[in-house]
This record gives sequence, C-alpha cells and structure tokens, in this order.
Amino acid sequence: MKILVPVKRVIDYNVKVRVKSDGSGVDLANVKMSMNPFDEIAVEEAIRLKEAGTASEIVAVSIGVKQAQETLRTALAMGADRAILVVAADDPAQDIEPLAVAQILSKIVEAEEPGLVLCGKQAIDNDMNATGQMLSALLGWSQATFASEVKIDGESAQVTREVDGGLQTISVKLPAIVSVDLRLNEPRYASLPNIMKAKKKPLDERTPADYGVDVSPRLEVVRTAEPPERKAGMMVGSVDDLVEKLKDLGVV
Amino acid sequence: MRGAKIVERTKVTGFEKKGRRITGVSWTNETGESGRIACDMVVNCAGMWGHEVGRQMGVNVPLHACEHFYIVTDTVPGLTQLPVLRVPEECAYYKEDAGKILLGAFEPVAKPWGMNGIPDSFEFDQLPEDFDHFEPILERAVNRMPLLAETGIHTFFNGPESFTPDDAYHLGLAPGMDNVWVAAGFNSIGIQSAGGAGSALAAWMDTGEKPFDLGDVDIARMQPFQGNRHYLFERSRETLGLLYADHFPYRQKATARGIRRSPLHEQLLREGAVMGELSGWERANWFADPGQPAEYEYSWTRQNWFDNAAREHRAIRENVGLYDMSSFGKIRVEGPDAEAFLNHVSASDLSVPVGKIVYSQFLNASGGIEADVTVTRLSETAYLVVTPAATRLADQEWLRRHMGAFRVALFDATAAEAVICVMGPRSRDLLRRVSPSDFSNATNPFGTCREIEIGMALARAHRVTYVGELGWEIYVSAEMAAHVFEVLREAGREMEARLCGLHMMDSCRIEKGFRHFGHDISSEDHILEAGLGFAIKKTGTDYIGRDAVARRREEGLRHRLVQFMLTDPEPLLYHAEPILRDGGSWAISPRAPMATISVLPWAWATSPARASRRRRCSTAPTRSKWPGGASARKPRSSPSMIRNPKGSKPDPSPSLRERFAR
Ligand SMILES: Cc1cc2nc3c(=O)[nH]c(=O)nc-3n(C[C@H](O)[C@H](O)[C@H](O)COP(=O)(O)OP(=O)(O)OC[C@H]3O[C@@H](n4cnc5c(N)ncnc54)[C@H](O)[C@@H]3O)c2cc1C
Repeated sequence: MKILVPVKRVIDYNVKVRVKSDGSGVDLANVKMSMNPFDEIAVEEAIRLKEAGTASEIVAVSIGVKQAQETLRTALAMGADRAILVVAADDPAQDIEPLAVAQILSKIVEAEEPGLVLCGKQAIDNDMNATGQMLSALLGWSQATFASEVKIDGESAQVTREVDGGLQTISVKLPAIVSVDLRLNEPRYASLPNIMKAKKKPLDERTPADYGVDVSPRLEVVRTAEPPERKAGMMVGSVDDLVEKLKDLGVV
Repeated sequence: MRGAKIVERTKVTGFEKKGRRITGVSWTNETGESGRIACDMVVNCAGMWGHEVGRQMGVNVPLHACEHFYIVTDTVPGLTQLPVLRVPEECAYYKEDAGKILLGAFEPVAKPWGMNGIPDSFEFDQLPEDFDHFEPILERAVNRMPLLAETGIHTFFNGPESFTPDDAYHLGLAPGMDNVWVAAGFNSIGIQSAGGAGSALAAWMDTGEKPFDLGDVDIARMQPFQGNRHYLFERSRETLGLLYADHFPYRQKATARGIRRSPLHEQLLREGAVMGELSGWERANWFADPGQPAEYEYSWTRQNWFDNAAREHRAIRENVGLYDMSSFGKIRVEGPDAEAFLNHVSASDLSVPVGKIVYSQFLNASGGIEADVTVTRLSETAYLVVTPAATRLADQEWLRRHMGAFRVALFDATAAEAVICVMGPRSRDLLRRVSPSDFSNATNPFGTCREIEIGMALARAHRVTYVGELGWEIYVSAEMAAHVFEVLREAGREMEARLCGLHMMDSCRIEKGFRHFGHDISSEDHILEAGLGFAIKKTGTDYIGRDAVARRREEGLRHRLVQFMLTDPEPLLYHAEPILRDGGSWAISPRAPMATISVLPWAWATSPARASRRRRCSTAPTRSKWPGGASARKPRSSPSMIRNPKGSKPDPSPSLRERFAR
C-alpha cells in the first residue's frame, strides 16, 4: 500500500510571530520556517506503517513556495521515499487556501493511487482544519479526523479519534483520508546521514497548471492583530489569601 | 550608593548630550510609558545593537552580526558529562548538554546578518537554518563522533551574534565622549568572558583607571573608519571562523584590506613589498626578492620571509635601508599653553628649544604607561606627538581628556605627512647625495629636527630612530612623498640601499633594547619598573603620575623588565613564554613578539614574593626548561638585581638612556 502525506511549510512554532505594522499579515522575511508539527506526526505514522510492513511506499507532497522543498527534504530525511513539490506561489506570504490544496491533492491522488492519505489535522499558521475534509469530499473517500491511533486491518482502518467527550473508535473503508492529532505518536528526529541522503531522493517539481487548478485566493484577510498583552499577575501570600482573592473577584 | 536596579522590557530611545557627556537617557516600555533617567555614566552593552546604539550616543562601536550555528541531538541514552571537545581544523566544538550532544560550528566563511540594522524585537529569536552552509562541517562531525550518525537531530539552531574587526571584544571608555562606556561585541564568547569583562569594566569605571592591561580589548584601539558598515560586513565573514583557525604568527586578515594606504603604497608594491595590516594601514612587512612570490607562507617554524628580513636587518646594521613609517600617528598640539599642557601630561620635560625631540611617556595616576611617544617641538606654540599607528586615537583621547583649562588645540595630522626612514651607518651619506642640507652631528645631533631640502621638495629631518643610530625619519608632506622616495631610491641604488619592512624593524628594535608599547609595556607597567626612569623630568612642574613615581622610588621596584639572550637562535618566541630557573618560577612573561633575527626577547622578571601582580606568569606550566634546551642569559642587568626587588635602581639599557639623555 502506498501512503500519501501532504506536508506544509509554516512559521516555526518556536519563533516569535511578528504582525506587520500595517496589520496586513505576519512578517515572514528571514524567519525560521519548519514542517507543520501535525504533518510531522503524519509522516512518522506513515514511516511506522512502512516499518511494520503495512505500507510499501511513502510519497510526501507540498504545495507552496519553492522553499517548501526544504520541508519535503525533512520528510525524506525522516523516511519518506519520494516527494512532489507543487510550486504555487512566489511570495511566502501568500497562503494557498485549503480548497486549492485539496483540489491539487485530489489530482495527485488520482495519479498516484495511494491506499491512504495521512495528513495533519490543521496547519499551525492558519488553523483552518479543512484540507483533509475537503479532499475526502472531492474524492468521495471515507475520512477519519483527529486520529490518536491508526490500525490498518485489510480493506479498512480502525481509527481512534479524539473527540470532546473522550475517544471514539471508528472503522473506515480504504482508501481513506486520515487526519492526525497530537497524541498519535512522537515523531522522530532525522539523523545527519539521513538528512544528507535525503538530498539524493527523488523530488518531482510541478505547478498548479499541471493539474488545471486555479490557486488564486478566495478569502480576503481583513486584519491581522496580535493577541492582547497579558496583564501582570499578583503575588498572594498563602492558599487562604488566594481563596479570598478569588472570592473577591467573584470567580469562586 | 552601591547596587543596581534592573528595568526589563524597556527600550532606550534617546540620549541627552552636553558637550562630551551624556546627561540623560530617555526610554519607553511596552505599555507605552516613557521617562528619562539622569546619569553620570552610561554603558553601551547592547550586544549586536551596540553599533547603532553607539551611533545614537556619538561613539563608534564597530561590530557586525553574523549567523552562528549549532545543532542539538535527541537524547543520547547513557550519555554522561563530557569535557568540551574542540576540533579547530574541523571548525567544530562538541559538548554534552543535558544528556544530548551540542555541536557548534566556526565555519571559515561566515554569513553576516542584519546589514540594514538589527530589528528591535529580535531578542531571544532565531534565524532560518541553512543546512547547506553547515553541511561540510556536519559531514566531518559524523566521522569525528560516530554516535551522530545514529542519533536524530533535535534542533538546528541559528542565532545571530556580533563580531568585531579583530575578534576581540570592546570594553572601556569610548573615544569621542567622556562618560560613555562600552561592553559589547563578544565574538561568540560573551558567556565565558562576561565575568571578567564585567569585573574589569566595573573597576575601571569606579576608580577611573584600568585595573590591569586591557589593551587588547580597549575600545580606543578601534579606528574611526572601522565603524563603516560595508567594512564591517566584509570583515565579519572572516572573523567568526578565525576563532578556530590556526593563529599563525603574523597571520594577516584576508578580508577588507587596502583601506589605509601610504602615499608610497604602489611604489613599494612594485618593489616586492608584502603588506601587513594594522589599524587599517597597509604596511610593508618585508620585501620579496625578484622572482620570489610576494606572499606569506605561514608556519610555526621560521616562515618564508625570514631570510629576507635578515638581509634587511643586516642592511640597517651595516649599510643603509629605507622603510616607510607613514602610518605613524601624528598628533599636533598647538596653542599658547601647549608647553604647559604637555608638561602636565607627560613625565618628561618639554620646556625644550624648538627643534628638540623628546622621548616621553604619559603616565596614569599609578605611574603606569598610558602612551609611549616622541614629542617634537616645532615652534614656540606647536608640538608634534608621534605615536604608533594603533594608538593614535587612544593617545589623542588621553590628551583631550586631560586638557582641562589649558589653551590648546589638538588635531590628527597623521595623513598630512608621510615618514620615510633612512637608517643605517651610511644613512648620512645617502642623504647628502640627495640633499644640500647639513646633517652633521654639530648641526643636527641626535634628538633634533631640521627642515631640509630633499630632491626638489621640502621636508623635516628628525634625527631619531627605533632601530638604533645612525638614522633619520624624513617627514614630508604627503603629496611630495612619492617624489622624495624616488629620489632616495634612485640615489640609494649605487649604495645598495635596501628597502626594508616592519619585521626588520621589530628585530632591530629588540636588539637595540627599545620597548614597544602594547607588547613590552602597557598601562599596567610602572615607568620605573619598565626601565624608563631616565625619560622622567628631574625638575619642573607637577605631572600626572608624579606621586606614583616618587612612591616607587622610595619603596623600590617590584619587578623589572629585562632582556634575555638565547644562546641557541632556533627557538622562536612569540609572546608570554615562561622562563624557568631550576624548574621553578622566578621570571617570566615576555610579551614581546617573536625576536626574529636578534635573539633578545624581553621578559618581565618578578621575585616570587611579589609575584601576585604577574600571576599569569608564575602559574605557567613547569613543563621543560628553556625551549630548545638553551640557557637564558641576561646581557644587560645583573642577576642580583632581579632577585632583590628592593633597592635596585632603574637601569635602562644604555642605548636608550644614551640616546635620549639631554
Ligand atoms: C549560536 C550561539 C552560540 C553561542 N555559544 C557561546 C558559548 O558557547 N560560549 C560563550 O561564551 N558565548 C557563546 N555565545 C555568545 C554569547 O551568547 C554572546 O556573546 C552574549 O550573549 C552577548 O552578550 P551581550 O550582553 O553582549 O549581548 P546581548 O545578550 O545581545 O544583550 C544585549 C541586550 O541589549 C538590549 N538592547 C539593545 N538595544 C537596546 C535599547 N535601545 N534599549 C534597551 N536595551 C537594548 C537587547 O535587547 C539585549 O537584551 C553564543 C552565541 C550564539 C548566537
């Protein structure tokens, strides 16, 4: 079984995000970028399935700017077999929206015919949580979102989902789209030799036009703002003081 | 009041200036509050922002940020504390870091960053990783530490750090202002340096005097042009990697060269000059023979220029040589109070006739040597202070800060005049061929200067030397320097006059017993202990350091600067070699550069009982006897004077005293 893993290049989770002074977006010039952490979990799960003999090949796909090839190299260094880069923007500030991504992915899926698409549940930059769902709709495939456990069972997959009330296990027919959540696994770090070898693994470069997809934005960003500054706290002397203060504030 | 208050998350936005002092600092913080702090002193310790903050303060803090890389592995099972491993030739260091391995790089060609200014908000932040840049080092690292092949890499870290043009940090009182202090530009060793730098700066600020020799890091060593951002950008590519490169003796920087050139630069290059750089000046260090590649081949043994320098040395000793000293710092001191002012700052008597040249030191209150210069009286109201290229700004600042109410003006005349040195026993002969002026001992004795005609130009002949008599320094207006050089070069051919470089000068001056400021003597060294007591005025006005001189005369010397002669010329001495007697530790620490042709390095000798101030010497490893197995001989002072710290009178080398005694 072939597994397709879409990976997105996003601002590194450690970096202090700076909103541009005119509020038009986030400053990405000379900022450290990394693979979306949920996508790392998806790549890790695919590698584990391959190591378990369940999967035969892992194809990583990224849609974005040219530099997204660094993100693909990371996936290859972790253990993906080959990569497809769809260069859809020149400007790193241009976000390719979920629908366009899903449309391109659906074309790639048609060509590659994977048995499973493992994707992150959301990207930490725009928090859309939509691509997997849209792809499932476009392909007419079953979907299992927010996976914290994935078991492949012949023609179907048992997926445990993290839902508000706890855990829910469902069985979906393959091929399927599974979007992964935080607790599915702990992704590995690539070793230096694997990072160097990854440079030699195949990376196929395409454009949206190859798939006949129009990536122009449909959404308009009206304003970007930083979260409000956290107010200073206060020190209390004892537990009793704390309870007293909380009562005063009317919270208990 | 002692103690400190730390105000976090607050930005300094401006400085109030009154003349050469900052009187207040204004600030704003994140919540939009703002205010002003009145101050007596300000310290610029703004790290890589220090250059820009310095500009706002009116001081020059030359530094540039570079990207600086390390990686941290995933947890390595069973890893315990390890010593730090440095592999200079692989540009890498390794250290255990909380159960992981941290591997950092000092790549030979660095990546400068922040050319258009460092963003305000770039604190504790990081830059995009650059695997391709780091990869050559990582490849060798996997070989050096095989566990790196197995373990995953947890973090690729790239953070900017500031680098200075000479890889030494900036500390001290900034030229241009009188209460602006600097501690910045830490060249990636700011954590390990912080304790000492902080302590030294605090002591300096507190007492007004350096607690010990800080010449290597004193911000006053930086030349104004070194604040140029394009220069800093180019130089910083190299300085990061130099931290791990082999620091060969005389190793020259490869980047940002050719900025300050003597008027003779092109002529010297055509003659085979191999240039070295100091404070931006390009100076001929030695001359290649026809057919010999005009470049350094560095090594830890005798380098390729050794024989060339030896021939130059011999020319100076036996015949006549020409060399360019246009890089001398030249400070003009003029005004009705020039004589009184210089008598106050200098330990020497400058109430001398016009035309007299005086070898002189400026002292601090402890009697330590702040400047080692010659002062020439040009007129009733004008003096010329000549100092090494590296100390021009520092000396001028020292003068400026002690100017008080004296009616004098100072200006930097370095570029106005070239200096062509004509030295050697036949130097008079050569000068007579190109000049009708009188160079006789009667008219132009040692320590005097005269205006002369030379070729078709005018110049001043200063009968003074750093390589030993006989010889003249010809000061000539910059635009006529090339002409005068041509004339001397042409006339010199028949006499086989040789072009010489600064390696020759170094070996000749060591042989002659002349001290070099910054190497043999510094602000830490008392003028009497340095053997320069003969330059001190016997009578006359009060001067800075006078009490300390009197006290030392009374209490006796604690240590002495002496010279040793090696019987074996082979070992090369660079600096700070320990000299052991009977395996013990009584004498030590020549800070002098390698004695090249002469084998007479300087050393500071301290009696064990008084060794504390020179502790760096007495803790020297007791490895072997004198390198090369030769015994040390001290040609000019008697051993008893070294053993007995008390009662010994300053005993300068006769040559020095003879030359400058009036
Ligand atoms: C990757 C890397 C590895 C390193 N490894 C080592 C090591 O192993 N050993 C070692 O010794 N050193 C190491 N260093 C170097 C060391 O971290 C630095 O030299 C040191 O932190 C510099 O300290 P600093 O106080 O001079 O500057 P900084 O720590 O940069 O402090 C400057 C401060 O000034 C503030 N500032 C700037 N402008 C203003 C303003 N207008 N108003 C108010 N505040 C202002 C800044 O916000 C900042 O807090 C490393 C550096 C890097 C980047």
